[in-house]
Amino acid sequence: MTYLIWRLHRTHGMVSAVAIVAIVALLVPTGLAIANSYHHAVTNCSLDHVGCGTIAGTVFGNNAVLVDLVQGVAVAVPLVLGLLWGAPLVAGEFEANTQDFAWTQGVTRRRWVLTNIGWALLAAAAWGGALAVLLTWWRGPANAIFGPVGLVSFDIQGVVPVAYAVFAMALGIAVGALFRRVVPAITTTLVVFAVLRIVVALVLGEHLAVSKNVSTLATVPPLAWNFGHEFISPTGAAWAPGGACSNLGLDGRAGRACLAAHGYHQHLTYLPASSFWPVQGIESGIFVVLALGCVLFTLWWLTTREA
Amino acid sequence: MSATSPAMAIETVGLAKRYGSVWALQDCSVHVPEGRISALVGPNGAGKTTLLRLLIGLRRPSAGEARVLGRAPGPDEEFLANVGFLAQEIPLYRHLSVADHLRAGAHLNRRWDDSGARQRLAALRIPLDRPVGSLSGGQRAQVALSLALAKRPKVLLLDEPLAALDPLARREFLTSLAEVTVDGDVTVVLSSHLVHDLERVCNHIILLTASRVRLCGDIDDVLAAHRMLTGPRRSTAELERTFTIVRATQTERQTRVLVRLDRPVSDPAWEVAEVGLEDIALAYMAQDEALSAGPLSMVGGTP
Repeated sequence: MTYLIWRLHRTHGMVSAVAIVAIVALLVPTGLAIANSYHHAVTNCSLDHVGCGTIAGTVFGNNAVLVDLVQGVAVAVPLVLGLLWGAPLVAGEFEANTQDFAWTQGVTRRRWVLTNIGWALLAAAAWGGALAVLLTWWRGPANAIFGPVGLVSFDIQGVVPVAYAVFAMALGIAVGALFRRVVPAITTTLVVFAVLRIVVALVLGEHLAVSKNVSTLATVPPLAWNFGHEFISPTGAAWAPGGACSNLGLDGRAGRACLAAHGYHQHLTYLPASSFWPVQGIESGIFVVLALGCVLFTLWWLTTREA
Repeated sequence: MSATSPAMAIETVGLAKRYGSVWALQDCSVHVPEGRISALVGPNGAGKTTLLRLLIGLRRPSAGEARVLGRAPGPDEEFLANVGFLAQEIPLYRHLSVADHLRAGAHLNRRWDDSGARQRLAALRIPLDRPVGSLSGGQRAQVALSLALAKRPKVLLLDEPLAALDPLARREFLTSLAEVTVDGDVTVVLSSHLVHDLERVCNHIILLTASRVRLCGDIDDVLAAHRMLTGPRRSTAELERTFTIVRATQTERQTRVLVRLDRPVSDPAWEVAEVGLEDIALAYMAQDEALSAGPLSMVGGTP
């Protein structure tokens, strides 16, 4: 069984190996350079009392394209695995009728399904794990400056890349088993994966974010992911442009103090940096459970339905 | 049919398969004794593929029961170890080489006659290292047959293995099949819509038309049981009381009747002649057409 799987997916394996080597070749030198420049900046900062806000500029000022590229690749990899590896895994067999060959050899269909899925999910986990380790290291300085929680930064490090990759693969396989055609399986996997990622992120953000009323002078804690703030009048109305203290501007201390004098308070919503691991755990758990659901569906569908 | 009742490799009782509202196979009861090479014959759409896929366990019956080597076909290892199947599309992994398929087969099966398969392929001069997709249709069919045989199956089911082959490849394929089945330890069912191809290698026939079994038995018995009666133009009513008429055709002056023989023909007005298998099969197929096309349509030429 494993020999056939290896032989059929050898190309995927080789492309993966080359891609990972390329990613390592991109990340290791740039990561080292960024870390070096970060340490240099931090040292200078503490000696010369240069404003630490400039560290971000010093370290990442010239690397915006690189950061976008790396983060884009890291976000895309799980999806690409699901589309190009997961979706054709079973659907491709049906398109070429090779299940007629595979399912009339000496192994049961159950074993065929489980062994195929097992190796595919292992490959996905390896991919996700490699990315997670590399990106968590690479983003070390960025985490220290901007925090690990953020729209993209949260998705490309820690443990969630593993869960995303495993889920994308399992989803692609399940949809391919359902449709038995590669192209519909790929498009459906794309849509379902994107929608679920967005929905889970929104729902989790809503439920896990800290939401509280504070003084108008307060700010979001450092390194937190700020979802927004509102100034609320004593009557409960939200402040709008042209409202009280508009002439002073609300970014500065004077305007905010003025609002406080008018009896305003502030409503903050944010995800503190400390919630990085709890949220990682919850989100990973959700996608691992979803992946398990896809595996069970595939097994049930392929062993109880006719060839 | 047989009085000595040898062990049955394949036995079905009332087997039926429905797709939606269409019956692909109805009330199918067939027996294939061990060691037979059975021709599964019928026009396109008669239910041949459905019957074979039910027998290999890739489909499940809507009604009735199938037994292959005493087991209900299904995905269990005991069953799979003893049956070989070659699907109509000759499904192989196009990008893998023949050698890859052989190695995969060795990993996927308890029994695997690797050297036998390699010898067969070497004798056919089929290259082992080229992707299967680059081989000719005849070579692919031979590769698929070799893979099916390497399992050393006790029952081998072949769905239209000749359909994609040119006459030469067809002959080679049938010769190979005749060679491997000469010991009689494997039971083969191979389907075709042409009787002519199979007569040379087969000793048993199952005839399906319009999703029903019309004929099932050893070819010798079938030949012995059918006669063509030719006589002056007359009604066949009297004949019908004694014999089962498969098909009657009339011209201006002559009546020709293919009958299933239960006893000798006593009426001297009939000239009695033996009939070939192909004509018998065609008569049954035409009988079925006649039901829909009206009475007394002529038997057509060879398709």
